[in-house]
Amino acid sequence: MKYMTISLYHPRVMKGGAQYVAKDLHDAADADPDVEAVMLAGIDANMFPQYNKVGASITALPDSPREFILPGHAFNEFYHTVHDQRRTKALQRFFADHKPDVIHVHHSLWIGLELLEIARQVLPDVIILYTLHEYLPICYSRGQLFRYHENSICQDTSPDQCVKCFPERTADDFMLRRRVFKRAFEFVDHFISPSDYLRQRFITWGLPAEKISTIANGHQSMRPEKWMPTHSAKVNTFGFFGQYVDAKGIDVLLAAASIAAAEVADGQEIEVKIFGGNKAYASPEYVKRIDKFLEDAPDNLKVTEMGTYSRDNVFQLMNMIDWLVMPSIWPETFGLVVSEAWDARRPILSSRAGGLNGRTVDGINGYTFDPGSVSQLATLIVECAGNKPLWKKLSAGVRDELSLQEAWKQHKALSLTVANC
Amino acid sequence: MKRLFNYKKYSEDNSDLVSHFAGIDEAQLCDHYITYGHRELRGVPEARVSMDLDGMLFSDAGYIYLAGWCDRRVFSTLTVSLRIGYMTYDFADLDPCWYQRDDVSNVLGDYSNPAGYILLLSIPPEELVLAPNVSIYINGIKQREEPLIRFLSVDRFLNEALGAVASLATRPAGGTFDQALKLSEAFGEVWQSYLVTQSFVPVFENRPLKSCQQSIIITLHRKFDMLLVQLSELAKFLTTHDAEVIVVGNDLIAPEEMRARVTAFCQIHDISIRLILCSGNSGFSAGNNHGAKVARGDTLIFMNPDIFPPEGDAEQALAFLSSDPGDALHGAMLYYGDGMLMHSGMYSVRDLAFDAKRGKSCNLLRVEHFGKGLSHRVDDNQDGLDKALAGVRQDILLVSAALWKVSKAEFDAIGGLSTDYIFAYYEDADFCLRWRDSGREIVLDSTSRWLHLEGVGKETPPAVRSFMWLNRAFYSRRFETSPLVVDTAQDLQLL
Repeated sequence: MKYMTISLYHPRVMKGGAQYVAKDLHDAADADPDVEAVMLAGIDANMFPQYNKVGASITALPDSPREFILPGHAFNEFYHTVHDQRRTKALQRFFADHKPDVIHVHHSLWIGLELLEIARQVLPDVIILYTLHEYLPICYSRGQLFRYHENSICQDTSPDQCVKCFPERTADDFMLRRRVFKRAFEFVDHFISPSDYLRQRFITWGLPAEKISTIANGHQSMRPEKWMPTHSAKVNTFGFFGQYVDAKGIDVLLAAASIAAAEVADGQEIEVKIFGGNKAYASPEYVKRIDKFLEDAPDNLKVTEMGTYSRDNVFQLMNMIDWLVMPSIWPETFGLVVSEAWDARRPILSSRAGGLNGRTVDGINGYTFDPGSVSQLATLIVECAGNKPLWKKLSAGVRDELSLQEAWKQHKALSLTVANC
Repeated sequence: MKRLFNYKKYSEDNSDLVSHFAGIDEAQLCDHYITYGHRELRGVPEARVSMDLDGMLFSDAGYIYLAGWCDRRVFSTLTVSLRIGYMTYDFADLDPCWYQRDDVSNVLGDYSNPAGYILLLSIPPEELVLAPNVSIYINGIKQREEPLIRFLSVDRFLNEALGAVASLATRPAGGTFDQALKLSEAFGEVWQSYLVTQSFVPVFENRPLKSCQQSIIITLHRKFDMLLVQLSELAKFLTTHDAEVIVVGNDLIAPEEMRARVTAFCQIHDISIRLILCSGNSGFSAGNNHGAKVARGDTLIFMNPDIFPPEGDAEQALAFLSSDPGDALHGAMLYYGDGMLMHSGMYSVRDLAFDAKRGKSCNLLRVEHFGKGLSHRVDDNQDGLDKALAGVRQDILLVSAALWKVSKAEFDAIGGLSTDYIFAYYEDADFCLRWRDSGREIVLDSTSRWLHLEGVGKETPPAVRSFMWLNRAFYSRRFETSPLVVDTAQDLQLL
């Protein structure tokens, strides 16, 4: 089988969850003796001109003979189309030369929805799989299904509701946008969702239920053999890993930690470590709110901003905390951080937002709370802080999730199933 | 009552008259004051407090827009003198567009005479000698002395001047109809002088056809954001029928980008298409007329860029494009993006607009739409459609140019769309009324249902409000006696 992966970015160009998933699957396919794998990564050439060769729409990734870059210069961020004649020619030729049996598309950003139609035209019998990594086809607001003006998860994605997030646009604009995505998606044979929540949202949006399967993102364990989990001396370190952006709920964590610090016994401290990048993308109001929490924090609450992290060091960094907090207020599509925490056997205090719901089981491997609920999280922090028996019980309850190899097997099996339909 | 003329004071203040009349003659001086002196504001130390100039625009083609106010009990007429460089241009016997300005009336105390004035003056280009230093005198009183005036190109002048009169466009129509008529004539002259300078240049053609059955003409203004989506929806039809698309771009913001995207689109869909760019904004009529002129199809289909077949039900809509229009002008059923009926054809209504304060009334026409507000959806069955169509009166039916089908020969025979309308609006109703006046037939093709995603809720810029207002006045005057236009009372019974 010849398996072509088309991703948004490549981890060597820019790190990010969706490109890690795509590259991992590509690597797993490449390691499969039955499979010939090739990867093409769409990128914003304006942001990464070093990958752009004048006049060339597809370029090689150095030292990776089966991995290619598709630099784009003009991307229609509303309709997710590119329409570039050089690029179209290059793609037509690329598909014709490689003749993949399966094209697995992982995004539409900087790839362009018309790529699906081009692939179908060049290779009428190719199987096109499409992994939905976020809600961008449904939601123009960063694909998060989160209403920043209401600070709540968007449950109604009717076009007139989209106008509330984008008052300068009309409901007709969003009807047309939905139509563009749906038209392009008609060229896809099967969709893959990393969580049941995301799958259900897309079914509600209009994808046929039988055309969308849930396969969790596979995780490549970083845990050494015979490694045993340990906690800090005080079992009082709560960690946040993720983007430093509004809907990730750092403000919820800090507010809850402040309340908890005021409630715990005299002399007991609570420590919060924040590992996160992209603070520049947070809104000024959000940063201001965070700074206010830091200023007003009780003396027994220690908050440390630890800076960015990568998956190369995340296992080590996870060992610097006792408890992982996932305070997201937007409906996470999967929550890669959960897999990373469980790799290090960290119990999790997780909001039940989106794809997080159901992964953490109360009293088994952590606890859950309502998205945005400061009081519920504060109660959990009070209960967990310094509670060694609880930590040991929950840590022991953590099980590994889907491995990367298993995830690849499921994708391969799905490809064969679709081919035989 | 006894009237006295203070001739001694008049002679003291006006020594020129004493020398002119070779002495102090009470009767002569009194006659002079009544005939000339009070108009010349002799003895008025602060004449400017009775007059002001608020706004001015100059075009490099000699058009001048002046707006302000004056106390008409002091100044019953206006004369303008423009000193541009070393040249002076005098305008006498002006007939300004006077309009009510409450802010001025509240100060002057005069509510009888409209104090606001708008003047659109014209210096023939061959007479105009451009210089940046300009002085403006109104009734001999210096209003402005500008060391550096920016002369605008005609299109810029037109848009800015239209924007400047927008406050009138939103007033009750009866009180501004006369002003609209007067200004539509003045602005119309500017518009026509601009229009003749416009040119069209072909910039791309894919799969050229020598002749074809259908030419789909899409005229864009500034934006092309929906064009590729629309072409995607039409692609299947275009690749399986003997049809071409002609896209005419008026004042496009990023024409190179549009061409690049359309060319790339043609790699995926090998459609017959031509892109033609206008040097400026020729408006809806001229843009479509040019598309029709270069069309190679026997049938012309005029399609707005926001027209789409219904999702999942394109076939019935697309059938409209290929069927023969015969000698009739055809329109289709148009629905909003949410699926509700937008309209099943149009008709024109004659209202009596009034200005009670001035004891005046006039006929003001509007365009109404059959079926607007009916609970009928694009996916309703035939029964639902029949109910929606029950109210359509064939004898007064017009169809919207958002989607038209007409034979090229017939379109040419009637002279195309009228370019008398500034930029856009009312030209399609005008066309339909002329079409019907000539004995031709209009057909609403109820078997064809389309979505029309017109910009609901988008704010209308001031200049657009103005030309809609002016075009409506022009349309009203042109067709006020048309038997195809119904009166208000008849309209009450129509839906």
